[in-house]
Amino acid sequence: MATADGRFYTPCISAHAIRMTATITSLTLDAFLAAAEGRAYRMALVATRRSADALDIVQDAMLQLVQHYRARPHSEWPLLFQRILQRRITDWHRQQTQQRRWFWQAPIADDEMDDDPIAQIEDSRDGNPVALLERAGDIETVLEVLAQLPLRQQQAFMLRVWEGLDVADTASAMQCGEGSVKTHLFRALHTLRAALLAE
Amino acid sequence: MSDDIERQHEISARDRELAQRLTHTLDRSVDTLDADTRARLAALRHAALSRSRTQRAIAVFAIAASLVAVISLPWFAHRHAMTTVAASEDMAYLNVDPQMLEDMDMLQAIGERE
Repeated sequence: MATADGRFYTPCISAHAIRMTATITSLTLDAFLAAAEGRAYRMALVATRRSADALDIVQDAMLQLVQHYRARPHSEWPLLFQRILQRRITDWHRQQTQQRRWFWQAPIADDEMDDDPIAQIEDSRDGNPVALLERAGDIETVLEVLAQLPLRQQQAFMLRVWEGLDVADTASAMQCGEGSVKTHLFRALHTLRAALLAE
Repeated sequence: MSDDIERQHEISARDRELAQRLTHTLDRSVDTLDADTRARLAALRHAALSRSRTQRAIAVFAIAASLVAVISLPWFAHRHAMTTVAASEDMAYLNVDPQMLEDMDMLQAIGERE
């Protein structure tokens, strides 16, 4: 896909989705998990910020997929895996919130909370686009900025943009309405842009 | 970025470029995972697959054992009933009064002598 400055970017997500759909019929469950585990780990790590917890979440997701959905058609595995993974990540966040409440600590930022982060962020759309894209290309910066997003925004961005799921599948994986997915994605992109410009 | 997103105008042209760059960066972050993490993920995958295999083997064995039990129980019950009948017949023979047997032997002996 060509951009304004004439450079070409590989449309990674859609290509990945197409590749998955095209070859999924010939994949074994082992091969599917081998292809998905790295992305799943990265997603869980961004959400939890703890390597051990991220590995636990990925293991649980793998185990559940193998135990309950092995016999399902191969084409359903990616969505089922994401659904299980996102549920485990959400459960982990709920447990953390409970523990924090128990020890009188401040709860983790959540989209469902009253404070709207958008209202707190200055609209900085006129920032330097070259610097913005440069920062968006730095792995450490991107992971840090993504980790700061509220969970629902993180999930909407990861599933909708990175995994390339459609709105209905993203809503199904996040267990929310399609309207919520669009709202979370909009907020996520707004927050990401502002955070990258502020870096 | 998927064409679906573009179609639904969820992302503005400016954000599209940003989203594209971010996805590319995330892809790179997966490609650059360290060897230790990759090895641990592979171990977890093998454990998940093998644990499932073991559990399936146990389930198959349990089902087979149940089937064998269901099929063999009536046969055992029937055999047990036959053994009980035979035993009761033996007992019936043993229940004959020994005195009567002695009398019969004595009468037989007298008869032979005469």
